[in-house]
Amino acid sequence: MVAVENVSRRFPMDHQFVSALDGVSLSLQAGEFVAAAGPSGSGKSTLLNLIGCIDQPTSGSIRIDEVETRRLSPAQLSELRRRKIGFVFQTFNLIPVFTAFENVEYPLLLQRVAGPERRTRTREALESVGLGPRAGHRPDLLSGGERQRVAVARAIVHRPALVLADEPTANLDTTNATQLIDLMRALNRQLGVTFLFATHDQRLLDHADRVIRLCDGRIVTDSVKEPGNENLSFARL
Amino acid sequence: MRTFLSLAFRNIFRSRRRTAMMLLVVAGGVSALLLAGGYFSYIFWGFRETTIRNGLGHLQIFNARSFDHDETRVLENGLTSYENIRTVVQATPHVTGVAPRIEFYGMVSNGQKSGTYMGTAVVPAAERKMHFVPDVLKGRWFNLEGSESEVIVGAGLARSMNVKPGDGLTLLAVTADGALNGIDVDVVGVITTHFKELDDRLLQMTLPAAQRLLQTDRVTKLVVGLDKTENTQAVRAVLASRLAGSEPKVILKDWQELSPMYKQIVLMFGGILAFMGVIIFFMVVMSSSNTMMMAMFERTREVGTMLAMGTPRAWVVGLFVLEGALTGVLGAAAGLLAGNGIAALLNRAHIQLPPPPGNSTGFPLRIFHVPEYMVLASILVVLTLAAASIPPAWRASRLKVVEALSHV
Amino acid sequence: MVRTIFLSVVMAAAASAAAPDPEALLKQFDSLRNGWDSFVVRVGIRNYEEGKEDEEHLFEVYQKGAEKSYVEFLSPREKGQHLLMLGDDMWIYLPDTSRPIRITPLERLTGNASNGDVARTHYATDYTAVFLRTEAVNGTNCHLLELTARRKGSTYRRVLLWLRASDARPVKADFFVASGKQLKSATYDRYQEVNGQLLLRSMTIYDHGRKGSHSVIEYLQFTQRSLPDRMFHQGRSERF
Repeated sequence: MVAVENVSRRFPMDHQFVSALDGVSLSLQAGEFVAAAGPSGSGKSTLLNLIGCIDQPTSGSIRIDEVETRRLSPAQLSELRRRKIGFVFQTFNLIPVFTAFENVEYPLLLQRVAGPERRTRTREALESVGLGPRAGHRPDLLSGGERQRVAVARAIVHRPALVLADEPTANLDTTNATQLIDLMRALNRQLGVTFLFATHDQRLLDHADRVIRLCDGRIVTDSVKEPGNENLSFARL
Repeated sequence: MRTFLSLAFRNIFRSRRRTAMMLLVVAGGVSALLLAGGYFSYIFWGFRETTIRNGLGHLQIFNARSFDHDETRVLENGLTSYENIRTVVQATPHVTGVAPRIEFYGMVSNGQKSGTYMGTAVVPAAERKMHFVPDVLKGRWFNLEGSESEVIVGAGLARSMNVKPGDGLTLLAVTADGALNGIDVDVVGVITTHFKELDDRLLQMTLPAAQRLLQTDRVTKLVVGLDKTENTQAVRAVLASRLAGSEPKVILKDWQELSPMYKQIVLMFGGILAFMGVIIFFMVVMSSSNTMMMAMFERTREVGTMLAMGTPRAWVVGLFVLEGALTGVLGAAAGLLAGNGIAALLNRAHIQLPPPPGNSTGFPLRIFHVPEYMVLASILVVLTLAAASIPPAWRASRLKVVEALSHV
Repeated sequence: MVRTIFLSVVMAAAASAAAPDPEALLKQFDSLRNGWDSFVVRVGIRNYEEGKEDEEHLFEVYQKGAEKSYVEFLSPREKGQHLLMLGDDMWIYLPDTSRPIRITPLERLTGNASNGDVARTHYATDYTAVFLRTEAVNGTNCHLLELTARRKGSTYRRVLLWLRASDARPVKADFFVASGKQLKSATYDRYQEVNGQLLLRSMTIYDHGRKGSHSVIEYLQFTQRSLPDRMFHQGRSERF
């Protein structure tokens, strides 16, 4: 569903270039639960930005559902994001003047979904993250964990093909982080939505089906966990 | 769409203090325009009504020749056999009266000293009907039982001829045939028009006396009074058609054409008001541009998120412009309230103003509530703020998503 | 060349030797219209405008000395009007009115003739005369006098008067108002000797600004007569 081919992203800096990504290639299938891991500056965020079509590679190509992103105009890219991608951010990034309900509703508004259907789907999305009763509150009245759950609801309400989450648990305490991971996992299984994270949270990495390790802009390892291996890591303790 | 309106509205109140400041400036601007405009409207009205009631009337009817040809003899281009015209006009709706008048110049003598006078010959009953009676300082105005040889003099003329009610004068004029003629007259009253230049020369007499002095049965014009000034154009059109085939051919002039000063006053004050509008425009733009740019910067990450989610850039621009416009609407509403409120209070205060140039009496301060100005001022500030919000809106839409998302 | 200079010097000397007395010349000029101290003259004035003439306006002028004159209007349309001059003041009286109207000598009587042209003709009392020079006018040698008003009742502020060098008859005059602007000019056309008195019979006054506008004043009949003072008083009671 996502095909990344020999993609590089260079930034100009002081008469030189900094390579955030250098010749990266990978592919994602529908329904995968994948983590991009690596230290700061390894390029994992850049990779997510490129796949999320909010940045363009300097060289190489990215294809989403067979569509070459380099060929698309900014308006077309915007449309692609609207329909096919959902974002979850480290800093939640909810619109503060909207209620939880309205925040989640927003992507459906962008797609001009009709009122009744919009409201039903929004309610369902909020239920699925366990925030049905708190839907009428504004973000400033919600806890960090609740806010991130709203963000997740927003990211999946429009049934995108792909959800990109950049350090989703970094601002959450252990309890909330665990809840969130479980939630995302459940949604991935229920809805068949592909999840790609950038993270260095070990808990998240443990839950991922596949981990792509990056270092200095290059893929170091790209390993798929076998289902049985979960018990393996547990056993190592 | 409703959601966007709601979003814009809520965004305005994100920073109460900032919004309050902007609203204050906008409301202040709108109030200023309403107060100035309302005051100017009052001035126009006052000048208009005073001029009309000072004897100008709403419409005047002349012999059509008087505007193409100069007179070498007095009343050469006067109205002959005007009775049928008078009947037609009197029968027209909204007409309160028709007064024939003769206007001419001549010399006046008190026996020792001569002076020039500007003679206005009137039919007192017709003038009274239209309330064209000037302010009497001494004696009285014409009454219906008085003799033909009564005259009323302006205050300045009374002083220079040293006459008071009861004294006599001799009037000299050149007749319609070009000969010299004179009559004795009796002063019964001294009046003021509140315009010094007129008071120095004005002499009113009865129509029969003037016709005797000038040896003619013609009049200079017919002055038409209406119930309400607003009806002037409508009545003019009706009269134009009804008098189209009259003999002699007549020409109609309305009070605006006859009082070029009115048009000049309106233009002058209109210019001042427009100038004020421009100043207020700049004030509003300057005070709000910075505020709106700051507000935009604070929402950089938010805008980045919206763009990341696939919000079209045009919607981002639209949102900011909408916020600007809504602030304008709120400010305009506040300004309308404040402006009208202050105007009402000032009107109650009954403040006296000094006499305007050329006049001799003061008048009370009043501010009119003019719907046209309210609409214009409101539109001005809404458009101003919408326009001022375009630069930040444009910048917001041009943000690079990745940079915006990493903004503080 | 030397002969020309010699002749002009001689002529200049002759001319300056015979420099005329302006006051005397003016008195002589006055006598052409005021042959006696007290007299009556019938005056007829015809006005011409662009070649069209109007009817003759007739006046009876009673003159006593230089300070009193009284003019009766005789033409049918002006009958009943009178003009009175006493010293520096002038009034007009209109029929059926009880008060006179004060006027000035400069104001129009009829056509191009001012009130003063008919009622105030003693220039020696009204003006100071200065001899300017001798010059030729239409081939005739004339003495040019400059007259300046010396009382407030004078008709004009300044007059230029050309008198024939040979017999002091007036040939022409230019009349100026206070601003210096020339208002009119006049020519003195016909003379007649009556009982040893040389009298002016007709003169023409031309409007300086408008060509084609002039008035002809004819002195139709002079009669010496003694006139009582009560004829020249300001009230309206019977004069005769």
